[in-house]
Amino acid sequence: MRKIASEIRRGVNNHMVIFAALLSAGLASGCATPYAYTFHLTDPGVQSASGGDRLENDDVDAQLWVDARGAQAVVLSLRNKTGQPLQVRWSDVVLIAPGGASSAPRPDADLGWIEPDGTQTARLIPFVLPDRGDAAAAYEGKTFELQVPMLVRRTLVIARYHLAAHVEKAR
Amino acid sequence: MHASLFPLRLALRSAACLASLAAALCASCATVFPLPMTASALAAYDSGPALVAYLGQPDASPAVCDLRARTPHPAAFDDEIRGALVDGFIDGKIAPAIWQRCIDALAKSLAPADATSLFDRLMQSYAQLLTDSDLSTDPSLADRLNTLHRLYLDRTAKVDARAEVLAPIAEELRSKLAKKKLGALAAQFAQELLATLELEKGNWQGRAVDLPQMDALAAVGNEMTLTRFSRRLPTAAMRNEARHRLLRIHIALSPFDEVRAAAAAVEDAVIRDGHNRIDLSAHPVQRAWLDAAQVPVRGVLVRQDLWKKSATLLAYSAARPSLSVLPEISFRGGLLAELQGVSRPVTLCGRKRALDPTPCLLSSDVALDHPLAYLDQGGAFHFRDQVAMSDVLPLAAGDFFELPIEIGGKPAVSLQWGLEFQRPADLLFTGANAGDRGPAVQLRVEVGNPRRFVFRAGDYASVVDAADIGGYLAGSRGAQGDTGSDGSDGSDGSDGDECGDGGSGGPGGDGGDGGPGGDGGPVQVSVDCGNAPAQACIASRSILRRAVVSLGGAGGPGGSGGAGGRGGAGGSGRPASTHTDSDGNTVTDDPGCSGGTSGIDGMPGSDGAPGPAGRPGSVIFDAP
Repeated sequence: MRKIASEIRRGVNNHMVIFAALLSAGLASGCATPYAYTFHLTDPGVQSASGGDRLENDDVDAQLWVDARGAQAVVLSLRNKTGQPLQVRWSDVVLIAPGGASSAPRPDADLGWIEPDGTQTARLIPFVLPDRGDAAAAYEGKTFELQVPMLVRRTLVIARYHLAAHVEKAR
Repeated sequence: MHASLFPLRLALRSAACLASLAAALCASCATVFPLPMTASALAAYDSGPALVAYLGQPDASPAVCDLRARTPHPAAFDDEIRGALVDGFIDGKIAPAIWQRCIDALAKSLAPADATSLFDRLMQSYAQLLTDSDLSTDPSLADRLNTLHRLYLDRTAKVDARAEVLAPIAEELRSKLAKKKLGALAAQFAQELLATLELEKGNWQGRAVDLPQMDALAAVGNEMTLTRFSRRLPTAAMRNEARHRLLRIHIALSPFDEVRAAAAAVEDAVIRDGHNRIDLSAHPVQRAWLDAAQVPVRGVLVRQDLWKKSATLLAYSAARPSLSVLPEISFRGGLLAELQGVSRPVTLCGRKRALDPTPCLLSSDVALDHPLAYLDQGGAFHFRDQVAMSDVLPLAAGDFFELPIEIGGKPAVSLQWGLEFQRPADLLFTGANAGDRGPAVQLRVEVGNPRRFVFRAGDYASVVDAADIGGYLAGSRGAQGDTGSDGSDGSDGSDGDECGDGGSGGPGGDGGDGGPGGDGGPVQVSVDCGNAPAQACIASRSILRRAVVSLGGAGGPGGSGGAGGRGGAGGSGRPASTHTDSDGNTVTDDPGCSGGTSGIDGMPGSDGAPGPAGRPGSVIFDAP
């Protein structure tokens, strides 16, 4: 009889442990605070524009914005200011996350070179970020570096764009 | 160019700490491997978990996944190892970049059936990741999926998963796309995969691929689609057409005037050979240099196993606190040369499938003039990292790990890494049996490089950096004396009878004295100062007079005294007994007794005295 009572107690305790684990897991994930991201370029000479931050030099006029929640892409629009085709090596684009991990986002559609005075827009995927909890909040103020190799006037140039994240609680 | 040495001592301490911590944390894990793990050690472990641990290290080389490579690797990538390799990646234990290179190398060297089996497993993992509910919020998950996606889409035409595996995956993805059951990101991947599967049937964006379509793509510089065509179209002829057009784009964009001027010839050469190799006899090297940003800068740590006469080469770096393995060096992009008659500097050729018309040097045109370096599959230089001591002794003469680079058989430039020898075990020869005299030792010490001391005795050698020489010992030592015999235990006292006391325990026997330590053997020292300045030589000799010793062996420890015997237990008591007489009085028949007391434990024996230490032997230097 005593043994049966002990088993019942143990069963109840086990259920409480499971409940507590589920509760804490719920708090850690489903119930954690949702966050939203905004990004801005931090490179010298950057200008704010309606379609995203803009950075221009003698060869290329670049505009960037991040679609962190929808298509989960970095959208990069490039205008070729040179008199020759400008070829971006889209297969070699590198994104370096704040912790130093690198990934290789690619355009979601195949692209050719950019004719003189032409503009090309690439949606680089994946660009995935945690959307809630401490994992998301930890990105506040952190910077991503997007390295875009391109042949400009037949010379390989690596354009580096630095995107700082601003994280705030989603409304 | 060499790595800063200052973090090394810290790295060694950190490595020891981390190893202890890892061992403590993982006491219950299935397998814990000491890190850093060299390729040779991996080959000896020959297991999937070891491969995962190896590839998880900084600077690990994917050459260990190439069964054709000279670099040590697992004997065979059987199902267990292949499974561990895929699971290790899916679990996030292997970084995507090195894992992808590992799979590339493995797929090329596996037997066709095994390569198919590998891709079966990869695509099953791919399908699981693609439908994972965390895909849109877990960056590392998305990165792993992206890596698998590119790996599959960019693979060579020769390998694929079985149709029985692929067809259900494709069917499920089509269904989910139609029902809009995939998230935005998953849908993008799924659509590209399905489009590529269609391309393998010869169709792209709803129409059969033909040459005018390829020409149109080439006219707008669309390398991305032409690259797909060159890898995924169903026939070799069509893939070849795509390659030609891709190459023409590369030629049109080449910064080398001579490439564009000889477009047809270059196209032929690259299609035939995979690259546009420069003939060094026609275009000799005028100048060569290294691009510091492209060449790994490391320091080499030599870890010596004195008594096994072997050494392990490891790497340290100012950029990280812990030791790791020596990196491979490809020199592509890092080694640049100006050649006579070539308009721009050139570097080493890239992968053949890149279809790069840029004039370049073959890996075989370049040599790393170092006895521990070798050129392996894939065109990268590697280092033998587990070697005999005799292989590393010549390194001690230099301050740095020098890597002279030759181009076309002629010295071109030199890469210089830091070099440290980890403090080895003391080079002390001891008498074979307890109490034996130390052996006579003929010691030769080379101090031609004031930064290091090279000790040699018979077949044994050790290298000690000057920073570690304090407290280092070399020479002869007498063996420790015999351990004294333990005393016998005293006998137990007898137990008392009823009402009686227990007997006393007997005393323990005394332990025997330890034996005398052996005397140190005679040590003869010759010091070779090489080209060292006289003052430095004198200073080195002074240091060596403390380091070279002939020590007496420690006396043997005395034997332990025997334990005293246990006192006997006291006898049991007896209750009183009475009866009542006819007058009603209580009459005591037996007053009884109380229990006996326990006997006294015997005294333990005395411990034996330690033996006397042996006497130091003579140490005679060849010169004052």
